Amino acid sequence: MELLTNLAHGFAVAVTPTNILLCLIGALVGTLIGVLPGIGPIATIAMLLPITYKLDPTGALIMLAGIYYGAQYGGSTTAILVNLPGESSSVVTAIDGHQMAKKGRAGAALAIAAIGSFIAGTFGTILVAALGRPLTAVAQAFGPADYFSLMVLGLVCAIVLASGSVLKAIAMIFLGLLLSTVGTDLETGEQRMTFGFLPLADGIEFVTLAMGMFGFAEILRNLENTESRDLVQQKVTNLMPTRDDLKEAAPAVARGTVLGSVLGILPGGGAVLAAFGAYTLEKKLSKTPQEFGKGAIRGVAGPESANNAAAQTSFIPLLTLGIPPNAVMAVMVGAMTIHGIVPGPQIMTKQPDLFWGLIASMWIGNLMLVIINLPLVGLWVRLLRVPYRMLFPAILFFCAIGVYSINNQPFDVVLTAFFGLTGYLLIKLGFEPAPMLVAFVLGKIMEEKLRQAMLLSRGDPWTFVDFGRHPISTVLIVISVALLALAVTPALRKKRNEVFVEE
Amino acid sequence: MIAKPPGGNARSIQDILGGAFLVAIAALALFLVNHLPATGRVGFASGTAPRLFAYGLMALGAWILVAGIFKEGPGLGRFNWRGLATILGSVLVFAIGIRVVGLALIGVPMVMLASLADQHFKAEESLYFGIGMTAFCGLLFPTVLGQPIPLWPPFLDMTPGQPTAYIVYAIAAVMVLGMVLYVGRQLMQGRKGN
Repeated sequence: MELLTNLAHGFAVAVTPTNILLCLIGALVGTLIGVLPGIGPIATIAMLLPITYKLDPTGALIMLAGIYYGAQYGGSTTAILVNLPGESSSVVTAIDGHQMAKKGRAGAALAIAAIGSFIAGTFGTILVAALGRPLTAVAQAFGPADYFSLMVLGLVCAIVLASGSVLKAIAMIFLGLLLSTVGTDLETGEQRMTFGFLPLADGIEFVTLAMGMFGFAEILRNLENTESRDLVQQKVTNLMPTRDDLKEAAPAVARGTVLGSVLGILPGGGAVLAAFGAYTLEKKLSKTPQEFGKGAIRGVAGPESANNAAAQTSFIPLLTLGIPPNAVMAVMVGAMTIHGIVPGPQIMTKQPDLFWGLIASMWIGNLMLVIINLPLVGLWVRLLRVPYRMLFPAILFFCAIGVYSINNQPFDVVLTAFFGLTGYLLIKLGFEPAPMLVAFVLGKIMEEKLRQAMLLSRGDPWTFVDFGRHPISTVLIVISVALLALAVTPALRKKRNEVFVEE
Repeated sequence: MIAKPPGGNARSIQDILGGAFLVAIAALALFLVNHLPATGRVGFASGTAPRLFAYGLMALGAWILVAGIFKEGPGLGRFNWRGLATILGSVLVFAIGIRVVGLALIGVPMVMLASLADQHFKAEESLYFGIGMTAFCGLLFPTVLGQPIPLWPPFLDMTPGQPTAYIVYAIAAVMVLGMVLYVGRQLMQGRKGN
């Protein structure tokens, strides 16, 4: 009952005209960037941060959250209609979705994707609301050592779930941690790795790193793939799926929702992994796996439900524990920090408006997305006619203005260009920058908690595995070590590669 | 998935260079924190965490490097030098120009320089697109959203009523008008083409 009261409170916050409008803007922008390949939610949220300065924090987060789940809807539209996944989370949707479209069943595919997403979004939202309080209570029992160990577990999960080489993923984690220590030491005030340079004294601005590594480096990489986009102009008729379609898709939606919700909560997970996982699961469970790749409706329903469920539930660790489970949530931490909010368990007690308002807005946003997406399909597809040669200078210009206006500091813009270059190099050298970003965000909190824990234990490094004193921490460390050991065993590595190379 | 190395090398050039890159970053970090205390009262000081992370990075980088010598792997692939130069150049132009000449003057050169990264660069289109973007952003960020981004060159007196203000607004209006005419013409041509 308490849950209902809280949700009612949340809806009261979310349905104010301003917040409804912001939610709509977020959902629309999300759909837009979901449709457009070459720009993802990370760069967009970072880019729009300055626009939110004048808003109150609740409104700002409602809008930014809308961008993330809106992108999951938009990405599927182009994946189905033009075989061009606008987001990496809809790569698998394109496999069967586009085949359905070729057979003249684009309407059914789009509708199933939207319905599945909506059901998953609803479930995800309820899960966030339900798990909010218990997890917050757990988080309040955490001491510094437990927190530190939890973040270690988070980083280990990010390593296990990252695609590609485990070794390289660990290296990226360490690079992110190292970069997070640049700036003034919090305790002693000493300058660390700043080259004696004043603008670096506050540390590396998160947005410059995210925008450089994800925004600029992405553009450079996109310019190399000079594939032309051939638009298959298809009339989308008959949006209603048949009864058989619904019957066929329903179990896939349910499985995708559950799988996506779980993978969303896990650190290192998120929408992309959820979609891949759901596709593999559907194919494994299907009695007719040969149908997959030729227009199986379950191949659309499963991943689309999963990616949207994960987009919702990835807010759980952020809102309750203050730990971003993936790179997009890491950007959300940046957004919260700019608005003076410290992510973590205290949000629920100190800012109930924000917590419940955000959750309620997610459901409203999902509803809006179903409504705006299906009838407006033609408009979104037409957007793809905007050539990339106009798109990327516009993105760059927005990014530059956005980065400049964080601190009104031209140096930040230069730093972004530098990180763009570094990001491009890292991609060329086969490194994946996403784990680095998560580690960068966690790094500052980790060092702080590590120091506190060491202070409390009078410098005993074994305090983290002292079961008598810190049982939570000990268990978390044991799980981390076990997971890491599993990740390097050949059998699991093979499995992991299968999931990611599924095409 | 793995692209064949261009020269058919038996070594993983990607890993060797990647490992070396990380070792270099770690070495630089260690050099930079050299003056900070490594341990303090409770075993922890300002220099502890950076050293810890840097040693970890160095070990991992060395591991990747050495492993790369003994295994086959992809090469570097081609670098998009043109893209790198124009895109990063355009961002630097923005960084240098924003305080010196303001958003209104830096917009077009930045957008045009960035557009050069594309093989199918069209000067006229890019020019008008730059004007459009500048006008849009100039209206949105400093004017509507009220952000403290310098819009006009600081050396011009833009107080309302000043002759310079009128002249600058007139020039801006002519440019925007030109852009509108250009877009109109393109649309007309596009319709004929279909």
